[in-house]
Amino acid sequence: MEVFVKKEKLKCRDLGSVLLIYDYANGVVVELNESARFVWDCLDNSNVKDVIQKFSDHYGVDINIASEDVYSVLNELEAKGIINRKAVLKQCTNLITNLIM
Amino acid sequence: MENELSLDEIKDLLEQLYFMGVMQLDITGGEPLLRPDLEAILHTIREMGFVVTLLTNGTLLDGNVTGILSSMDIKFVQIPLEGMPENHEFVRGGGTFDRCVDSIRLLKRANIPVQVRTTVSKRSLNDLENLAQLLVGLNVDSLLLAEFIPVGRGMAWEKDFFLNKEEKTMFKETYVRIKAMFPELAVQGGPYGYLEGHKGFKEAGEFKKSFMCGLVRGDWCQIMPDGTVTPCDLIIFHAGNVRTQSMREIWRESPVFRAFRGFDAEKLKGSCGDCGYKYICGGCRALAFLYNGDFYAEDPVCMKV
Repeated sequence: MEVFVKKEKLKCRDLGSVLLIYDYANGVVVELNESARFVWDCLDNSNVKDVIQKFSDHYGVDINIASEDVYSVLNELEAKGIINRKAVLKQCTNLITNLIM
Repeated sequence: MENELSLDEIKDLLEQLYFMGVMQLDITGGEPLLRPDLEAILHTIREMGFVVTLLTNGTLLDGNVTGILSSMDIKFVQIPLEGMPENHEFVRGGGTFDRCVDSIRLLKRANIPVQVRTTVSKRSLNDLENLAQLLVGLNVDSLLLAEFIPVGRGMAWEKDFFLNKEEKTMFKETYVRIKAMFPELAVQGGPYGYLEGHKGFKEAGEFKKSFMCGLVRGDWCQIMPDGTVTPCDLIIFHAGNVRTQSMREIWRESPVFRAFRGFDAEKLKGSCGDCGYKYICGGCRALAFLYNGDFYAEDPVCMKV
């Protein structure tokens, strides 16, 4: 389960057509258009898989295209230090069960 | 200053800046705390959600202003210390060193980030290490070391303050040493001399865009108390006035701003033209104009060592 977390101390400005995000500790500004903003808004309480599904449902696009678009936004935000990738939690219940057995 | 913008004019200006997408305001002067309606201005800025830095001489801070600042998104409050007490008070006046230190303590008690700015001169150069140690003890967050530049009244002090080549080298060595000795203090130097490895320069170089000048970068300008808009805080170039034009119009259409934004490093002359850093530094165009009458002349106070 892949999760991205928004950095603290960000300032957001909703200008209608765009959302500005300002990381004032580092002097970085990003401008999100409508679809990028959708991804941003979905990040709270959602893992990436869920975000992709929501994006696909909202924009009516194929899940693979949605995945490309969502990761494009996430990768750029991560590169700019606006979000951080949390450790991937692999579901390994069966493996652990087998080891115990 | 005469003819300062009124509170209503400032509120109107803030609204314009808000919808232009301006995210951060640097409040400076003169001395901003001399303004009797500063608290009202800060309240408005807070309500509108700007990020703020406050640059003050550090002698007028009190609990009221600190209380407001602590409730805002404040990047830092900048207080000047021009060296240890003797050298600081030679520049800033008797009794000001302790008042600045008291202000720093007041801000830190309120958990407000503090940046100390020191003008590096012939006088203050040997104070820097002791000063850095003092600041660590005060839990100051960052130290900005800015070389003395002879402009305005400073032109009369060039001989006493301006670093020669050997002193610039000494400054660079001191800067590197202080950074290593006090890692908990974010030391920032006049970037001219420290081009290698400076993150901002490296990134600017990728786009062949000057890192030095806010307006050449396209992300900064100054608005004077009387509404004059200028691209530079060293020299006032009259790009327009918010009393007669909208800020958006000035930002987009001013011939002064266009001249800066149209800066072409290929046209640089003299030592700037021959310099390997001309794309990412380009020198100070305002000083080139002031001293040589030519926007593309070499920077007379090039700080590269």
